[in-house]
Amino acid sequence: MAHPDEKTPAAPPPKIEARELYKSFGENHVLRGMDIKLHAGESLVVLGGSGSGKSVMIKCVLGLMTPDVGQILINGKDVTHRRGRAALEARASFGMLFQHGALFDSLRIWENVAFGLVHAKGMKRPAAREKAIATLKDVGLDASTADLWPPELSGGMQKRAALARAIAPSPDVLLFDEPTTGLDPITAAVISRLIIGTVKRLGVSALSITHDMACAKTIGDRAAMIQNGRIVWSGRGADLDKSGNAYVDQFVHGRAERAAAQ
Amino acid sequence: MGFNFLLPIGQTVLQAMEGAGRFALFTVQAISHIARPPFFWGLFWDQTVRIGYFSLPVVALTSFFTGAVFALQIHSGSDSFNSETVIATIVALGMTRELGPVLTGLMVSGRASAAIAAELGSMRVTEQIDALKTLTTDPFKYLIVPRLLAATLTMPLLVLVSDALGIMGGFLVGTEALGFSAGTYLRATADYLTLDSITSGLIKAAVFGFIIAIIGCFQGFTSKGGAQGVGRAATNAVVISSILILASNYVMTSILFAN
Ligand SMILES: Nc1ncnc2c1ncn2[C@@H]1O[C@H](COP(=O)(O)OP(=O)(O)OP(=O)(O)O)[C@@H](O)[C@H]1O
Ligand SMILES: [Mg+2]
Repeated sequence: MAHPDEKTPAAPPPKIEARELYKSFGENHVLRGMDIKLHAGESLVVLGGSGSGKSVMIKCVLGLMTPDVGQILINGKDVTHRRGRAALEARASFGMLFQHGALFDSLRIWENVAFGLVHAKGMKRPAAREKAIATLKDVGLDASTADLWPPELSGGMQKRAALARAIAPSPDVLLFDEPTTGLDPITAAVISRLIIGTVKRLGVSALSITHDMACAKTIGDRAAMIQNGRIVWSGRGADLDKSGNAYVDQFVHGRAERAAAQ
Repeated sequence: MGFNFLLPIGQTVLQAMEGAGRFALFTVQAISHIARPPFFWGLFWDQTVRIGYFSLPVVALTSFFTGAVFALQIHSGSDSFNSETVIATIVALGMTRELGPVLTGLMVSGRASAAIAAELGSMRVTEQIDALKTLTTDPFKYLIVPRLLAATLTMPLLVLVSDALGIMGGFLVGTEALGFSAGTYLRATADYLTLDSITSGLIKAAVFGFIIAIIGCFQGFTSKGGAQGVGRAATNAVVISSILILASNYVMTSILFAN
């Protein structure tokens, strides 16, 4: 079997490729030569400490921020300098789960889930409502939540609803920004399993960022570690414990010790 | 290095220019999105109700009492000779040309500009605006165009209401408190109230509506820093749009009534 990083002529281009990204805010040099490759069908987890630039990286990939230097390729096409509509369309097959859900307050839960179906896919509202309710069930939410407003759900339920909103338009790439932050360990584990289950069931590629080791091990086929604005280690998710990289070890054990102390 | 004292001044000027540049770019972008599909009719209608319909009570009350007090003041300040027609004329022209549009503008600015900034600001800081984009929906089309059009189109209607109620306020004071004849008062109003006066007020109203919405949207869209930032955006929106309304009113009066 060929290593996924090797270029064979027939191999499809990576779903997402970030080349040598640099991004600074004034004197704060956040990204310094960040390289990321997400291949079709794999689930990549990017790990890194707080403030290491994980969210900045994912925002560059999503086109919500522009890198100072570097390129973003989607399905092999350079989309770095696309703006407005072209930038949105380049990412039309992406689904994103935001750290705090980012559900639209002014819309009911089902309208949130149906949003992409109605506005991006042109589905009629009754059909979209049906699909939305089915998708809510897929992520473990009862049909009775459909007519509630986002603030009426708990944090964990909001995350499920946001996951439903991300997957409803049948994306082929899913992105997750700290899917388990702010949840209790049990709910976090449930969400992690739900995510990897969904990714494998839909056969999509996934790029997640997290600093939760348990989550990383559950959802990552492959893992990468950010330090000082670049990737310092990458390997199989299962190998995080035996990476041979000092910083990764520190990260794994620092977390483990803290978790044990709680 | 004898010019170090110039540094802060230069920086402030640069910052102000950068802000103005960003605002100009934002405005151009917003306008360029109006003509291009898709157009969200439902959202436009929602905003029309929120900005226009719900402002009716406050606009009506403000205008009525202003017209009434205006009549009283003119009466106490003028010779009683011929004051019947003088009051009717001044109230009608003052309301339609200046007070109607400006008062309505300031009232709606307080209500709508702040509300728009707060709503979009909280959508910004909770990443809802980013979420819109990841669902392939342009926030300019979904959030800004409906508000911009709703405010620009409903303000003239509100000003018509304001004109009518202001004139009615003056009329009631004239006929009930000052004992003028209703027929004379109304005839004087009709004689001196030209179409020009009304349309100039409506033009101003549309411009004020645009200012209210674009400032609210810009402040909300560019807000950062959590709940505090959202509060700041709302306050800024009211202050800036009020100042712009008064300043642009002067400019428009000097253009529309230049002769
Ligand atoms: N819009 C912005 N303006 C200025 N600085 C920013 C902006 N966004 C991020 N930063 C800075 O970039 C750095 C990285 O932020 P980022 O949000 O990517 O961290 P992170 O790795 O996601 O951390 P966490 O795990 O805590 O979410 C921080 O120092 C932050 O202050
Ligand atoms: Mg983050």
